Amino acid sequence: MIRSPLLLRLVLGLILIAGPAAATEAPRRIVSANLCADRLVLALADPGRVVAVSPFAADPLVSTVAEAARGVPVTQGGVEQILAFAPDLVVLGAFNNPATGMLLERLGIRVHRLGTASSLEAVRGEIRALAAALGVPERGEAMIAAMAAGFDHLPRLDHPVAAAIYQAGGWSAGRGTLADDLFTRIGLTNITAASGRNGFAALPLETLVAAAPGLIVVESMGEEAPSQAGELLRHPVLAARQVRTITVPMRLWACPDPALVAAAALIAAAAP
Amino acid sequence: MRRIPRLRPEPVLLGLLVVLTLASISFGTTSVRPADLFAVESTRAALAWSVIVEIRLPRTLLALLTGGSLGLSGAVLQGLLRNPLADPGILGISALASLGAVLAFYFGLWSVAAGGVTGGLLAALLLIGLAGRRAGTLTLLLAGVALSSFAVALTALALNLAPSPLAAYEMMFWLLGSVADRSWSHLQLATPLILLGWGLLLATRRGLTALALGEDVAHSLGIDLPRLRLLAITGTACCVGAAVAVAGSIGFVGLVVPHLLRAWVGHDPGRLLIASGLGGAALLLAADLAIRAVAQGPELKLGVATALVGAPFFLWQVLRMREAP
Amino acid sequence: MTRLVWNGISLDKAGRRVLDRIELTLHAGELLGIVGPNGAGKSALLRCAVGLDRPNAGQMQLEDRPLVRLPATERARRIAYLPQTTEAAWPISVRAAVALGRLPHGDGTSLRDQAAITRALAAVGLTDLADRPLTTLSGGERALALLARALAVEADFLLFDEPLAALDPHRQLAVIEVLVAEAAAGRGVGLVLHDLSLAARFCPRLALLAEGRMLALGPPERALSDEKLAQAYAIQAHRDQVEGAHLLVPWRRLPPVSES
Repeated sequence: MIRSPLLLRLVLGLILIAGPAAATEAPRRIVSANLCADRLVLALADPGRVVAVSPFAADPLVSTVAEAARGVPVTQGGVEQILAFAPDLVVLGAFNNPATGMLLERLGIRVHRLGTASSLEAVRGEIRALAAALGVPERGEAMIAAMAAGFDHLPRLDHPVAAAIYQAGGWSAGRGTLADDLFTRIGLTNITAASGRNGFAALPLETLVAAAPGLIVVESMGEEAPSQAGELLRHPVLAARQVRTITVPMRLWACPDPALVAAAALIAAAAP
Repeated sequence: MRRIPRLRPEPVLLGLLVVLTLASISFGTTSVRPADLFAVESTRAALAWSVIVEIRLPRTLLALLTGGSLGLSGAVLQGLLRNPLADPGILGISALASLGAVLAFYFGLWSVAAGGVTGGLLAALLLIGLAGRRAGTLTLLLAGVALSSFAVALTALALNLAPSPLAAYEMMFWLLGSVADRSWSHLQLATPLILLGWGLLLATRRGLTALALGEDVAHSLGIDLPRLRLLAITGTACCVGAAVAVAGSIGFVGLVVPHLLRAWVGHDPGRLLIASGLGGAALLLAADLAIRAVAQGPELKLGVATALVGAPFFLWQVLRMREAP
Repeated sequence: MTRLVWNGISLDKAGRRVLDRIELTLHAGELLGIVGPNGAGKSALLRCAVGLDRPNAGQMQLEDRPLVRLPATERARRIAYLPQTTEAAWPISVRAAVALGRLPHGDGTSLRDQAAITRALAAVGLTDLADRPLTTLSGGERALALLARALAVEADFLLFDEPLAALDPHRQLAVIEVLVAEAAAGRGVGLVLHDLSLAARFCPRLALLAEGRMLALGPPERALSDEKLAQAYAIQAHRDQVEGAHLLVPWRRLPPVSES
């Protein structure tokens, strides 16, 4: 299974006390063990260099790169399995077992951790950092430029619209979240942020209604979109006012990647 | 003590442990085998070394240390409280250790361990304070239940106030208990405290045997009861606190293992200690092996596995106790 | 001479005076009966002697040394205690229960330990039931097993709290004979008894307690005189001499007498 001389040197290095390998050449055997990492890695790196991805990469429900993931071997994410692919770079994400990253580094394998972004600036930062780790900084810049262009082409709002993300149970996103930043970019007023709430906060129904929302944004897991929005609309207070709702599939804004533009486009198009 | 004229549990359990340990380093989520260590092809040998020595071995040892701590402390607490329902979870020590670790989550690995042990020791101090040095069994049990509820509530609060859903998710999954991908760093952290805890717990053997006929008789036999309680509680806090800190919250082992082994050691509470330690280690390692063997999809968490097996088992025991005359 | 002394012991519990300036000496080789009505403080007297209750005033002494200065293990070797009620938490065998009595001497596995256990079992007649779990025995048999546990300590002083309560008359007499023999062998035996007939018949000296105070100390005729019986129990007894021993049977209740 392991034949390349480069690999031989690399693997032998494991039994010597070694720190993380110096990153002077672009990695050629990339393992991605996290959905958001999969999406970016498959979009940025050369197909031949990605030797394993997480099981979610091929699931069209949550992955935007399902096509590219077809045929790529799958790893559950344990270090033993990852090692079997003899990687020179492992990309982990926020939902991985922290011990995995620690053990990989201990074994002298380079690990890049993708973070969660709470602003568009942070999203750009994550993309840049990952592209650099993959040895393709120029592709990272290209992706960011494309995203910027996408945002620029969003329909302009000719009057202020108050909006909020609102889930069953009253969950919403306030100041300092990615959703909030997206709203600002689109030109919407985030009711939750305006009411002084930071982070992921609950938005009381009263506050929502009192702010005269023009649009309510709901997340959904799959294409059976109506159910969540339907639940909310059933509340007499909202139904009476005939507030517009738009359902955005989870897949579009789960990760710090270009799918955010599609999410923004959906929301902008739905604004009155 | 009269010897049971049949197979003694200690050698049998030790043998079982050896078999399980060998299995645990021979089998994993890939097809690497110990024989590969001596492969002619140096890359295969190097990979085998990484997998067996850096991945499987620490995981195995941690499972043994954690299981042993849970079994041992369960036996000690049951002997001390003279109640087969006692275990580190019941007395709130696991819950406070988990809380300590969760609160320290974002400050890195070393803080998590420190948080866990601090939580465990805090539980010990609170227990002694709440129940008093001369308090009886009932008071101790009630104090434990109160402490446990309080810690669970605070943990829920910590999850509720987590900076992001991601952070809450991470904490929740950690709380479910796992020894996956643990390394020698985790072992270095936990082992000294666990061994200290074992030392303190094993020192209670004689006292626990004397307690079989009650506290008054034990006192008249020369046992220092407050000291016994202190040894039991601090020993439990040390080893369970350290184990929880690196492996998360794993339950039922301390409850189930002494139950299973009690008749085999002639119901001698003192003798039960070592047997329970060995039994707990074997049980947890077997559970971890099962998880790895079955793992086709995402890995089942160890704490979940022990709960899935432990809870029905416990229910069955309760039903059996009802039917007995 | 070996003796266990209650030196001016007073004990308060929950605001009540349970023991009031008790002066009492238990000598080696003596069989002392401790009698008195319910709540007189008889159990407390024994508990103070083994350190289960700490007196508010006074001192327990073993051969003129304060008992509190004695290391717990040595105290356990010198004084054996049998509480009034004992609950076995686990179904250990009778032999295992009796073996607990050897704990102050070691771990119970030496030849000497085995001999002591065997002797104790034989003394109470439980040799045949030695391997049965304690919890499967009848109340009387269990009481005998616990008694054997205390005998197995082979201590210098035996303090037993109502050891005869759960036993049938045959076993009661058997046990009393064992205790008489223990005293004759040089041990100091202090027995709390509620059965006045047995107390009067077998104990050469009696301590009569009532409401925490020592009302009388001496041979049965004096300690359980008509006056003392009226004062402590508000009863009248029928007396006789049989085979040289004092026969005393509570006979009639008296209207309660107020303390003078």
